[in-house]
Amino acid sequence: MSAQGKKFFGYLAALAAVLALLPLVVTNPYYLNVLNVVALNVLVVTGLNLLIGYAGQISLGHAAFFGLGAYISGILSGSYGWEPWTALLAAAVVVAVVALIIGLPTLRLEGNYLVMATLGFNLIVSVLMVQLDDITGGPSGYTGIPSLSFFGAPIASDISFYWLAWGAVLVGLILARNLVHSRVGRGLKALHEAPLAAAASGVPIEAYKVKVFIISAVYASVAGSLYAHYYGIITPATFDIFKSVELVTMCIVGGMGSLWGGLFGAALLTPMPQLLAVVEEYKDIFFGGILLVLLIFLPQGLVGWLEGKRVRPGGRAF
Amino acid sequence: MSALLTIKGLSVRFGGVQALSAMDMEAPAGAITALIGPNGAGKTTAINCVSGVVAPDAGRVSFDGQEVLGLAGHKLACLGLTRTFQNLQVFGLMNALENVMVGMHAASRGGFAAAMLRLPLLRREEKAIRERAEEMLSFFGLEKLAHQPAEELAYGDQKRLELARALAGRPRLMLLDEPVAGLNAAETHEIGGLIVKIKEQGIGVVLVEHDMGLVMHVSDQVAVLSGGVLIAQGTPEEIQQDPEVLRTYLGGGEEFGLVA
Repeated sequence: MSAQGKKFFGYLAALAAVLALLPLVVTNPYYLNVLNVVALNVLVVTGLNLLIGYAGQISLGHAAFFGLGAYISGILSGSYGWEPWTALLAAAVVVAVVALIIGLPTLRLEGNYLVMATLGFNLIVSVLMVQLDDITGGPSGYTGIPSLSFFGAPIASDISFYWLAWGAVLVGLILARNLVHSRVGRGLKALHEAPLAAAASGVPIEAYKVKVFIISAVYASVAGSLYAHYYGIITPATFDIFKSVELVTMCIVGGMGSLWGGLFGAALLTPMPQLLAVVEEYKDIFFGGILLVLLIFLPQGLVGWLEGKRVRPGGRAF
Repeated sequence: MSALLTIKGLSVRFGGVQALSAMDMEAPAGAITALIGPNGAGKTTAINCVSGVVAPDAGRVSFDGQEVLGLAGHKLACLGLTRTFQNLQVFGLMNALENVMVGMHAASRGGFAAAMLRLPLLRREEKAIRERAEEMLSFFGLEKLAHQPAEELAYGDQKRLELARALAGRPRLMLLDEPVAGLNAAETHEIGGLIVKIKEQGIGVVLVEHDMGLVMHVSDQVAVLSGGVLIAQGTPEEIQQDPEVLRTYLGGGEEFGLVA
């Protein structure tokens, strides 16, 4: 195994050990719930980081993919009696197709057209969740979503979901890490830094951007489906444009292009609104402010800053 | 020698400027073909057309008998045609080794799924990519800089890194856009030697260059562009005696005279 690989799996083992011990200390279901939400955010941010931090494309629509994962999985299992795991997979497939449809035309263009397209997409999805109330339950939400199960045992309690969600995070991190340290991962970094040279080296730029966008959307979808089956109730407000900003902020706080950064950013920011009442009141301002301050003073993010990573002056931050 | 690269009737207009007018040129396999001409003659435009960066208004470009105009940039690398850039295009935040590993992209195939699941095929391929990249770094004398971010390398090293990246995938033809621009005489001499070594591996080279000493020394064929028109193509000796070429390079007689 390479030195990089040893370092990654060393950290991963440390993380797994902490996660295994944490429930011994954290027994209060409220805090356990916070940890579960952190896990889901880490999952989304890990996928988002592949897109933003490696391929240099920004999405402001990942809350919509998160939401589609939640609603499709929730409705298929709640209204149509699908087995929840099957519903989760079906949601991921649908979201992949939706991401393909959005990504194909916008990622061909130079410049960040994806931001605009995903922003509009998120707004549309939010409206549909409210307006299609026969199917979605409208503004008050969709209820009665069954839990996932593990060999017949329902994953309904906070602690059982804790194992599932953080297990998913570990798998998600490993898959993302493998991608980053591969021929494809190098191609993604290359097309971000010098697209002409990447193409001249044989990197299919458009195809790679679209594929990494789809993968990041599927990460969000799976997290959304897990969310739906955990809470049993979902409301449109959870998946609005502000949630997308929140996810991008987590990605940037931790450090774009660092998978541990995503974990760090999500772990740091997720509990804020839940733990600090004042933050909850002004949540959107809080996240917007963090984003602004960070991009100005610490564009490499916290983990990037700790590692002494630099961002080229005058270079592309994304 | 049959031509590996054939350019026929290539014309490009940028607004009111006719950058290239019905340019014809051939580059054989396993030989060095220089493309020279005064600033603004259209040399880089020609390279950019061949490599798919600029879409010409008219003309044909075929590589090994296959029409390549309009192909996406990455497909050319897969056919065995790579290039370097006049303005450096290294991947600044990636280290030197990774830069060269990207050069192996066209010569490897593992996709997203294989990468994420780290399939055995991918692991074998990754090893081969790394070994080839290390070999390239040694060839270009960059092995000590393997783990330096490319943007921290000296200018001359970045130039060589681009060559290493373009050579890594074992191309059949390399387009080199001013590989020694801004380098001193010793560095120029060294790169000249490396370009000849590349040729000796059976790889064709199209060399766009201003350094007449280098061009006349290493080239098998020289093509001369002026004002977007190809005015001559021949051996270095023929070109140095071509009256039109001498007229174009006003006072250029002395310039060519530098060649010993």
